Amino acid sequence: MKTLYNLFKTVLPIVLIIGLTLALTGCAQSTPQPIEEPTAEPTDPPAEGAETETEQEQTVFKIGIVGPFSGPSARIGDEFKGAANMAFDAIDWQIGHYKLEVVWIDSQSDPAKASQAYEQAIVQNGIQVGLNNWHSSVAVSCMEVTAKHQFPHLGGFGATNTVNETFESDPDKYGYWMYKMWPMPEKLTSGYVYALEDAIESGAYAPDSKTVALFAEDTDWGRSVLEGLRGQFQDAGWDIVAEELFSLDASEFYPLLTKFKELEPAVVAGTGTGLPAVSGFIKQADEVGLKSLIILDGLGWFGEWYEVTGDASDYVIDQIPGWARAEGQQFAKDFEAENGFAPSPSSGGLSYDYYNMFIAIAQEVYKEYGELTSERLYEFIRDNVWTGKWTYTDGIVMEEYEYTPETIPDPVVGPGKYIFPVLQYFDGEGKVIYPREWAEQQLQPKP
Amino acid sequence: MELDRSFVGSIRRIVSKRLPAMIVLLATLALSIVVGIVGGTAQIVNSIITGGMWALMAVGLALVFGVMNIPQFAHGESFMVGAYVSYFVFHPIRNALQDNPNPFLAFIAPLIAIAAAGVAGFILGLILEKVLFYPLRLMSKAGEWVMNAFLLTVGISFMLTNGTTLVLGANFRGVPRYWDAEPLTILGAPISMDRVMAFLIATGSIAALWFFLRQTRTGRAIRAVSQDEIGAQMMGINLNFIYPLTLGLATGLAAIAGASLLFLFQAYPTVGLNPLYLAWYVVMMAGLGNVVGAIVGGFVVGILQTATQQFAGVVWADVIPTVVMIVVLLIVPSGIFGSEVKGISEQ
Repeated sequence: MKTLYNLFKTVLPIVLIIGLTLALTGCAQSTPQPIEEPTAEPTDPPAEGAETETEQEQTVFKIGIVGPFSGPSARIGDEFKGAANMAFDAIDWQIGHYKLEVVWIDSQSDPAKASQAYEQAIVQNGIQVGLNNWHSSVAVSCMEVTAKHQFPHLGGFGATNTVNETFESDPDKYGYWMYKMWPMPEKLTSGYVYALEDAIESGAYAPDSKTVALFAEDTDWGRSVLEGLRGQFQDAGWDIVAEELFSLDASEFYPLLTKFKELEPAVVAGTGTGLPAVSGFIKQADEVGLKSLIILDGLGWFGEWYEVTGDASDYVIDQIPGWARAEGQQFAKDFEAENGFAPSPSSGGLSYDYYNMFIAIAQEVYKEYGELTSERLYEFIRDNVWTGKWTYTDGIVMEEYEYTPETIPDPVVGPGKYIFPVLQYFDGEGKVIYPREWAEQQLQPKP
Repeated sequence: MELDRSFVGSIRRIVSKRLPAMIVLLATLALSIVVGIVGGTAQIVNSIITGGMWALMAVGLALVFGVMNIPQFAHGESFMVGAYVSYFVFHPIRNALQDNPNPFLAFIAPLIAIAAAGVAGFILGLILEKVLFYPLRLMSKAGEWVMNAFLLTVGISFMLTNGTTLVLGANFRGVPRYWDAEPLTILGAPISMDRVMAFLIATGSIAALWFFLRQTRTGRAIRAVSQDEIGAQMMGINLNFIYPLTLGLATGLAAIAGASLLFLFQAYPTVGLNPLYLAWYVVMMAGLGNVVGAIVGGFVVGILQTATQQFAGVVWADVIPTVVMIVVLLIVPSGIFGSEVKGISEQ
């Protein structure tokens, strides 16, 4: 017994130290950690007399990728990582004589932690450009960091009106948040109202009354969507019978949905960015027997949404890009083979396009200036991307990503540019119902 | 006359001792009636069912605190482990059933998965006690145990959460439902079979625990330790058996809660956070270490959540119960049913 006690006395501190170290390492997910540098493939022998990249000194160019790599939206972070690895693998992590390195900046879905981690990545890790992000609230907080350090950030998903308002308030200061990957919600949510009005006009949908209950997560994104939907529904003559906000990690909606059921709105419309919340909403709506047509913006953002919702998601309306092109379908297959789960066009697909857009811009910058720096990237984007002179047309999700002085920081929205069709889900598949020229079938009301 | 006076005196003593609990229970009853009138029977039925689930989560926490004086902040990770185990057991069976339907297997498969989760949770508790808490107990001086145990549970929580993220990734693993059946109608309220079964499993587990603690020798030994550890030792109760068993039971119950609620929560590394906070609401409001209080407290919190959603909105679902808890603790610091945590001198 005494020997056992002495053994424990010796071993326990070591176990505790190892445990605490692991715990602290895990806690410090906000501290960006560089990924292992992949080995470049051997290239063809250079032309005689030419200075080769191997002869130039290899310089490391660090890219900070912001995403929710832990927390309720960690699943999205996994899609960002998978897409980034695929995009940079394709160019062997090399642009000119620059070896690319990624620093993963974990926002943890928390604006305060995100901005702290971002600043740390700039100051301590020496990143030279920032890419991506998911939450609007995180985007707003990180804009202050990029403004402070005059540091270019490209392609954030954070779409809320607040990002645009901040940008427009002082483009010289906040213009370092250079362009968004997702336009303001109201530029896209109008599609839902148009789809409903179109279905009513064609006779496919005949609600007893034009009433709608709105719901959204209590974040900048959710409130922006709610505001957009409210205005657009009211403009189209709909009555708003209820408005509800819920926390990002909510999962119990039974009382709320029972309340909605009592109100008998024709449509229940809203959004959420966490799979537990949106799947819980859908399943519990089915449980309480809610007869209203459900619009849930964002259900299809998660590759495994149907696995967790099942047929409760039938008749739900959403608006996401699909894998319309062969390249997109191939990307989805390759992604799943490499990462073990299916990507979503909205998160994995779009972020893949924007990583490749960054690569194309960086290659242009290198070609023009012979160097790749934060300043050169900023100048190129300001002079060419913002003006619409340079657009990206090799995407797998959208035909063309274009920005103009009128739309910046948003992409141009419209046919042939950035556009989401409105879909209705059946058996896990989305059928396009609007616009008419793309429609696969008419809107179907719930039986 | 003397009998009447002693009877009245007994009633007075019971009422004064249990006054906070009686007030809260009466207030909860009144709130339920209001919710029922305004929101319909569906809200009441759902509150009871939800309350049962929170009670299951909270009772394990109360047990560990009452018997072992451990403020268990890794309780949510037991919930997580239960959710994952249930998913990994149920998912392949469900896939097999899609190709080869079998009504009997379709009915018992979720029960097998939930039982497996309970066993896994129990084993987790045994391991944690033997590997971490037992050595810590040997090394802690008088007066240091509670803080040491608290810090250790926080570390365990981080390790389990981040370890799961490392090994299994952040993907959400869930099921549309356990039982493929139409919702049942209870007092006019449509309630899914999954929710009904979760409630029955929760109440069954709590009833089994209650029977175990009251009617079995080992259960009485656990209660003896919670009342007076030194006295229990003097009676020949082996603490090296009681503690692992108690922690195993607590983690097992949390794992059963996680497994039962897989249809609601899904399995992912941080899924246990919300249930942990709710369990702590219940335990702090009811009284630290009070197992009976935790059971009743679960239902009180269930009604409170439903009333909040009904009258204030979903967004207040965490705020109002927290405010109520603060108010209760300001008035009755030991909780509405009284604390049953041993004094530090007994450690």
